Amino acid sequence: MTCLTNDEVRRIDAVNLKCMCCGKMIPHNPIVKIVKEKRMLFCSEDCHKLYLEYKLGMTAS
Amino acid sequence: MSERKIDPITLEVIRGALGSVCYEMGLAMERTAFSPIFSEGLDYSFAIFDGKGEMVAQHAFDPCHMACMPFSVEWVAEEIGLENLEPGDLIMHNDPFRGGSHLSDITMMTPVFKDGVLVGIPANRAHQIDIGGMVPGGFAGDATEIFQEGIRIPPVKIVSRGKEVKDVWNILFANVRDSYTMQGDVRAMMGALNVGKRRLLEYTDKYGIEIWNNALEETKNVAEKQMRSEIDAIPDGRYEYADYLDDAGTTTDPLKIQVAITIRGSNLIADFEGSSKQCQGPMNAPYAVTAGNTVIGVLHCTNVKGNFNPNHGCFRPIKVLAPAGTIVNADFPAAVQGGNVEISTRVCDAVIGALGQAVDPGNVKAADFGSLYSQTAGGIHPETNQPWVHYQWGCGGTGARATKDGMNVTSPFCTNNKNQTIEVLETRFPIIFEYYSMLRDTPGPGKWRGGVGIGQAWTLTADEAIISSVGDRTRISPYGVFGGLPPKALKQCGHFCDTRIRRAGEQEFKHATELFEAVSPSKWSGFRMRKHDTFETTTTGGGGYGNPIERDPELVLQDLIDDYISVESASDSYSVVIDPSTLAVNYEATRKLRGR
Repeated sequence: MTCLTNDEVRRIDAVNLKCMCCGKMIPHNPIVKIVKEKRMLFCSEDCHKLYLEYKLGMTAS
Repeated sequence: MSERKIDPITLEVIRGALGSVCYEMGLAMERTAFSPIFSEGLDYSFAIFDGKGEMVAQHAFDPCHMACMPFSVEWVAEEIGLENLEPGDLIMHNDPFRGGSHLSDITMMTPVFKDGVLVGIPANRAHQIDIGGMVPGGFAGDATEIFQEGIRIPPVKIVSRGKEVKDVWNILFANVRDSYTMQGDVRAMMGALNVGKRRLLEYTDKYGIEIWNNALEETKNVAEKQMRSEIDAIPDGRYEYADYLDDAGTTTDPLKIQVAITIRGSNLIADFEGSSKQCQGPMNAPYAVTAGNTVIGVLHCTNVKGNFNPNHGCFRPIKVLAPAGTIVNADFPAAVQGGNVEISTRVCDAVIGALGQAVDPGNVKAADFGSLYSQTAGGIHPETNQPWVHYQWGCGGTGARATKDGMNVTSPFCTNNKNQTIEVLETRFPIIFEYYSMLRDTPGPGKWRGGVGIGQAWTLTADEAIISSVGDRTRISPYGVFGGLPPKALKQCGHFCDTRIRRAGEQEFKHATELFEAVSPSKWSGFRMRKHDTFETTTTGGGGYGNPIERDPELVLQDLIDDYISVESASDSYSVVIDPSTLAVNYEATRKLRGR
């Protein structure tokens, strides 16, 4: 897992850094996960788990 | 939830005190603000956050403000850092893309320290009369990006360690039209926060930091427990609903709010997948508006009334999924002014529509008239030669309830603002009201009818003014429930809610689409009024609840006497025959008609 720094997040502000699950702009270091071979950003571990379970119907490991 | 660390009596006293402090701050604001939107309309809210930046209390001001405020404070915590707050600081913030709602809503907050420990953050949000941008009052119905809507303020200290940061003040007030009034309003916000700060210090002196912090933590846990209990009572399942907005302002296609609510035990997921893509006009909401108003809609469908403190705890069981790039979670730099006044109400309507399929029918209501119908005007006042800006929202009929009619001439329940007294408006601005009255036949019929809408028109007495409008529910009506009906379109204009303009010397009101090149009749900007032109706004009523032919004929008669409905409506909508000359119900004819 890698994280962007706060400064990097703020620089990305103009292109909308949003959680893949809930859509909320991420006001802190995003959580980066590989889902189905794609890098995805989440605002929290809860959102990552919810994305897998609710959106993809998968069981979070 | 952790084990309770405070006795229930002390907890209840502190919990009540928190709400009382919020109310007292609001009273201070009401009595010191310059703008009628505050002193008359109460378009502001107060809350208290704890040392973690989580909301612990609010009072019954504007739910739309308060449900969104936590997102602003979260960004302040991130960008400035709670650890970097110092005694005497005051933070200002209005950026919709940093947890705000729309640019007009400025959030301010001040940290309160006791023995060097951050023990609370009183905060407020207030809709400024002007925030710069392309038109006076900020409601540009055809804006296409946020830069046209006003000045965007990321979290900044406007007072640092008790000293005003003049450079920031200078930038802000150089970018608004009526800086004199706005400075008065901003200072009223500051003064009210000082009231809150004083009270918090009194309570922490009395109870000490440990008991105080334990109480704040526990009050959130209590709210979470209550909320989870309510959600747990709803049958597990997925409940869907879609409602619509008329148009984007720049195009005429309707916009869809689609929500699917999933109940899993004591957790609730509201998923807005399927909502319309972000639009070019101002009908976009940032995430905070959608999430906050979802919570309001959910609260409305529960039994948590009265002694309930809707704080951070009641957010915990609710997860809001709003896809990026849609009207319920717009991407920068979308125009968003209409999101907080129109999409907010429609999100509530959609959430109630979905949950209404699952909860006790007693907790369901029909849709409100469903539009703030924001109208703004501004120019140079002929008596003072100073700028003036006027913002008036349209109040209308609320939706009928399980045991009562809807309320007449009230703002949508997610905003809770008051009507502004027209005598005050006439005193402050170069306008004079031609009429201001409830409109017959606007309530949606039902066993319980919707509330009654209103019509109002004012005439300009200055040489010139610039007017703008952001409204909705013009072409698509609010819904009724359980057999209740939506209101009918107004006969005089063919719309539900509406704005029209009458040129001086002319007889007829015309829509903006007829007078100039407006795409939408409800969302437009920058129309130049001339002296003695008249600006009319009408709102519809709320939807009905239950079958109209089950309504007590005596209540129908009373509606006729009160001029809420016509003889024709009594017959057509309620199947009640009334003799207009005697004002008596013809029961035999009514029985025949209802048995038909």
